[in-house]
Amino acid sequence: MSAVLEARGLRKTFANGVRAVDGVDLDIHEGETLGLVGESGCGKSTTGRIVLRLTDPDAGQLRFEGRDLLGTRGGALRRLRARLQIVPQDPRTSLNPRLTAGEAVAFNLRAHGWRQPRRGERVRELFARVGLAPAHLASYPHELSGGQAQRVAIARALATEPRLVVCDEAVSALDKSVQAEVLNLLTRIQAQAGVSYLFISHDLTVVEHVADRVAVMYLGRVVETGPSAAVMAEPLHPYTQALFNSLPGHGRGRVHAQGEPPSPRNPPSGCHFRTRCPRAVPRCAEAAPPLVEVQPGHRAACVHHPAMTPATANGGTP
Amino acid sequence: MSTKVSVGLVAAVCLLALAVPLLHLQNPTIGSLGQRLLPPGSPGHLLGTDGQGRDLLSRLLWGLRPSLLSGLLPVAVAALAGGTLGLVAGLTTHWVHDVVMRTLDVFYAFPAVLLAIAIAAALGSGLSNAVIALSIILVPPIARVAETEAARLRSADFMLAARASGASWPAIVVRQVLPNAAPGIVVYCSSLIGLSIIYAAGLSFLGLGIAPPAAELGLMVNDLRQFIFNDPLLLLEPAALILVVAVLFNVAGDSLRGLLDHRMEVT
Amino acid sequence: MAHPALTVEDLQVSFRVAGEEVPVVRGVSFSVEAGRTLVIVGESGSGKSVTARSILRLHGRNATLDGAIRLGDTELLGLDERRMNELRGARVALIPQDATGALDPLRRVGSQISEVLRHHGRAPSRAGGLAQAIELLRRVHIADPDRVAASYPHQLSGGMRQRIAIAIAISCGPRVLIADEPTTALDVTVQAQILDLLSELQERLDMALVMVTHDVGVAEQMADEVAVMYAGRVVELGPVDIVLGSPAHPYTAALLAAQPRPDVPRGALRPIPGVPPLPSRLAVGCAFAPRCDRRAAECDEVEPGLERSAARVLVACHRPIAMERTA
Repeated sequence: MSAVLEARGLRKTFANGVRAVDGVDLDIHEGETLGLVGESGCGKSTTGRIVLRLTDPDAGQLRFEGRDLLGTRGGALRRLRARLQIVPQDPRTSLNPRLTAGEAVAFNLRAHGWRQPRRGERVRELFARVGLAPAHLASYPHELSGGQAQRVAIARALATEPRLVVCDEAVSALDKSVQAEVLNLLTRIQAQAGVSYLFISHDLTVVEHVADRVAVMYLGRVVETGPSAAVMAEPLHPYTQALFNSLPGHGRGRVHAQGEPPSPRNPPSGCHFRTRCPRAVPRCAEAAPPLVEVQPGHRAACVHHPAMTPATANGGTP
Repeated sequence: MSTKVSVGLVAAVCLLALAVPLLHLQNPTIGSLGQRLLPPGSPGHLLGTDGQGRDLLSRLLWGLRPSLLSGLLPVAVAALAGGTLGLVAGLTTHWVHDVVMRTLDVFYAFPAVLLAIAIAAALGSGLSNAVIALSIILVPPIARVAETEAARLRSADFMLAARASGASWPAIVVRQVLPNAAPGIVVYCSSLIGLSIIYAAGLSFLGLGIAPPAAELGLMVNDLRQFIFNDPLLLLEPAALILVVAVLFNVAGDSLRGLLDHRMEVT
Repeated sequence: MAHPALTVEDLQVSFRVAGEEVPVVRGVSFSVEAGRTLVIVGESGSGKSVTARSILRLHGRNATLDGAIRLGDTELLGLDERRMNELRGARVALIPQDATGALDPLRRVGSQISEVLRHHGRAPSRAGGLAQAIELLRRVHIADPDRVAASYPHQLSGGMRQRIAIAIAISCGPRVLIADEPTTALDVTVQAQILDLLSELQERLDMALVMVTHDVGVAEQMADEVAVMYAGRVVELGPVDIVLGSPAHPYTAALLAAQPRPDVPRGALRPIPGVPPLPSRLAVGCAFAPRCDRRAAECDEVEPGLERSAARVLVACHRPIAMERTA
């Protein structure tokens, strides 16, 4: 499976001193969904924007379809955007209030040279694909329900046959019953078109359901990554464990995050989570633990989980 | 006053000004000295005559034309220039924004009237120079409003999607930003028309606008002001017309804003 | 038998909008004993928040309330505003959804708490009020309460602000606490802490807790009893494990089925078809009928009343789902 997107060492500090992204590596393969999960301030949205080239990182490398994405500029970047799309969070504001649903989708097609009558046909086709009645082509966003508005946003993202769609909290603002509809739709589209998703969300239950692989972020860093089933079944990093145990009704394990998240302007030295971690030891303050492969395909950045050696990889003890 | 009525009145005034050459009015620039300072209601001179014996009704109607022009044209020009500047500044976050806004601030620091006078004096008298001066002083406030609108929109989710679409910036500005920003800018501009008319009259009053013997409302106020003690009614005529026209435009602009606010609330 | 801490009987709330009376709450009844938690679960537009706020009579002039709301044996709906104001905060308190909006950005935290205490006569002086405020902050597990009391709301995190809102709510020892989506705006890890705090306080102060939420998981964790609301009415009411374990009302069942769970294969989530009806356009019969997979003729004709189905569950349905009987 080739990687559609490869990110290495992404870093971004904002003008107000917030270290939003502090060394992030990501890989997204063809036709897969990578869930990027974390609480507010962890840098997941900023990472998404960097991937979309809507924000430029201070450091790092980004390869999309094998090409250097950060080095692509101007007209070449604009043409590339056809294959790199976004579905934003709030259905209320993700559509331009002054454009009809049809016009909103047509805008993306126009940007890439689609002309009438093919453009109109394509818009109708997209509407059918996302399950919207043709009558809604002339509807304004305020006339649509949350679920319908998100469908329009999805149609817009699919218009130019993207290879990667960044879903930035795409279902977070919807009622659970509507969420289910939209999630099903995204799954169906992925099965038909082979598109990859970077699914950003703070909602673990949704990510659990929709992602093939998962990356957990805390204060600008990826602390754990691996196949969704593996991470959910056996979370390695104490923060991931705390996240699970915090889910209401999900059973109350022993590991909890204590206290308040530290300021992203001044994160703790070494491991960012150590100030809230019930398993913190002095070594945690010395250096940021690297993300190492603890089990095949399953990585964690914690001193308590050393990298697997050939011995442990086969299930033996070190 | 309902929107229809106020806008209708404004349209009527504009049409009247356009139609003036078609009306058979007396000569506005040449008068008969034997007919000086006739009071309103005199035979043949419905609104009286001025110090040079020129018919005031004719001068008022002819004077309406340059006055309206110096109300509408500077606002139109400034809307284009200021609107563009403000939108561009509002949509960028880096040095372009700062350079534009701080430069505008410099202009803003001067009282508008004085700045207009200074520019008009520097350029010389004449209608076109007055229009230029007024256009310049109207650009900063319009640019401010445009910048506010654009900044508000810049962080909206749909703008993210627009930027991610791969469309060129002109396409984004024209098709995504403008439909949202235009109503606010247009409404603000309509409130500036009345102001511009008054400023223009002020410039002419000071001798910086259109030159005599042409008819212009501010110029007329200047002419007739020497007769204020003996024939005050004559002075009142151009002054009242300036006021009425400016107020009409303001009221129309207000009701336009009310209409648009309601529409935007619904949306 | 003593009166329950809170009794709501046939509550109806309608709002005057553009000349029309729109019924948003259409006959809600429940009661909560001291020390017990009722969680009202519903999606947007179900009327759950309006119900919660009605208990404190927080609506504007365009709202019409009918029915009965009793705190202990005190009937609230007939009271004049002055008397209601005495009760608000003192005997029944609200924890709002977003604490940021509930706190005055221009005053220090300690001073705001102290004001509430003095208003209800619990503190004689500024100094006394401040001391009690600091003690309250300690009670809600804020480390370094002196510093926090001297801070402005914007200097504190969302979780901290919510704790302060809770501190204000419990400051005068209310019998009933209404929490309107208290954790919706918070991160999951902070949410867990806040929910734990609420449980602890409820036990310590023996309060009746009414919590409004759209999150079924929160109901699972916090509730003794659950009331499920749809289109302005309670459609199911009963002990949490029965209602959420073996739902009797088709809407409850559908809501639970729509939750993403690990065992549900991708693409197979069960959304509820259709959209909730607009309060201004309710048709005859059951409001859920158009979306219900158990719909029958009578569902379109007569709106079902809330009736006892099994042991301790009330359901408003003509064809409720029978509870699974273990063989």
